[in-house]
Amino acid sequence: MPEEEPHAIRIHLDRLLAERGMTLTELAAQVGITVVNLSVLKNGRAKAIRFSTLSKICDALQCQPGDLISHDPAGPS
Amino acid sequence: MDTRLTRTLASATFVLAVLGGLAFVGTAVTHLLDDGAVCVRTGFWANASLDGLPLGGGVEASSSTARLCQAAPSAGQRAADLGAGLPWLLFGSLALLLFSRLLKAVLLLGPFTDAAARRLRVLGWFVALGTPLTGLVAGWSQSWLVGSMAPLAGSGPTVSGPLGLVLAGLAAVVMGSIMREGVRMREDLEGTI
Repeated sequence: MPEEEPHAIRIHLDRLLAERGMTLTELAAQVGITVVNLSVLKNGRAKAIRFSTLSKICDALQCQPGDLISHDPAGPS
Repeated sequence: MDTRLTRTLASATFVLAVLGGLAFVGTAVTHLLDDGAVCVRTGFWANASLDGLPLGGGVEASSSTARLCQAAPSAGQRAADLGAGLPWLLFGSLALLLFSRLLKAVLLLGPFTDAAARRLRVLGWFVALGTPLTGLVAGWSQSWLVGSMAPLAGSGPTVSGPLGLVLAGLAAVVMGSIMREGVRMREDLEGTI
């Protein structure tokens, strides 16, 4: 994968999965995307997320997009 | 993608490029050391009537190209003789070398990569710009040589050779640019969930 542009968006998938007692594999099966892609999202290496994917994740985790994604004013990590 | 075919093609084009390069050097050396006559073809007398030939009634004969040969040519004529033939040999060798480099990039990194797109554009520009330049050098050399043997024919800038290659070169440049944009779009998509 090419070098990624730094950004200040944080993904809280780890926390949400732990709170719901769900594994990445189970979430991937429910959402209908691969574990690899979900790992990319979890590790903050995703460049973009489709609204359809975001909807499915929020449906599966019973959350709002703001629970999953936040903006860190401290800037790029 | 059939990598075996691509690998064979890459090796074959590299070998041809090397052979072309050796032919270039060998031809240059042999021509420089040769003390024989220098010959050139010209179409200056094309369609000139050929009278006195034993032809049937109602038949007319006219010439197409004439072959002029200079015994004991000058150094300038020897150089012009080289200039008429060698440029295309060098152009062909370098084009084949660039093509084999393109195929190697495709083998090592894949066809839709920055490297392949860049090498295709380089090959395209080389062919598009090199064809008229090589044609000018070869054509002008040949024209000068003819003029030196037959002053009546005169000499001047002439472009010879398959100028249709310019279009092929430009097509390769366009394809390379399209591939580059495709690579950018794929890189953008790679991180999209």
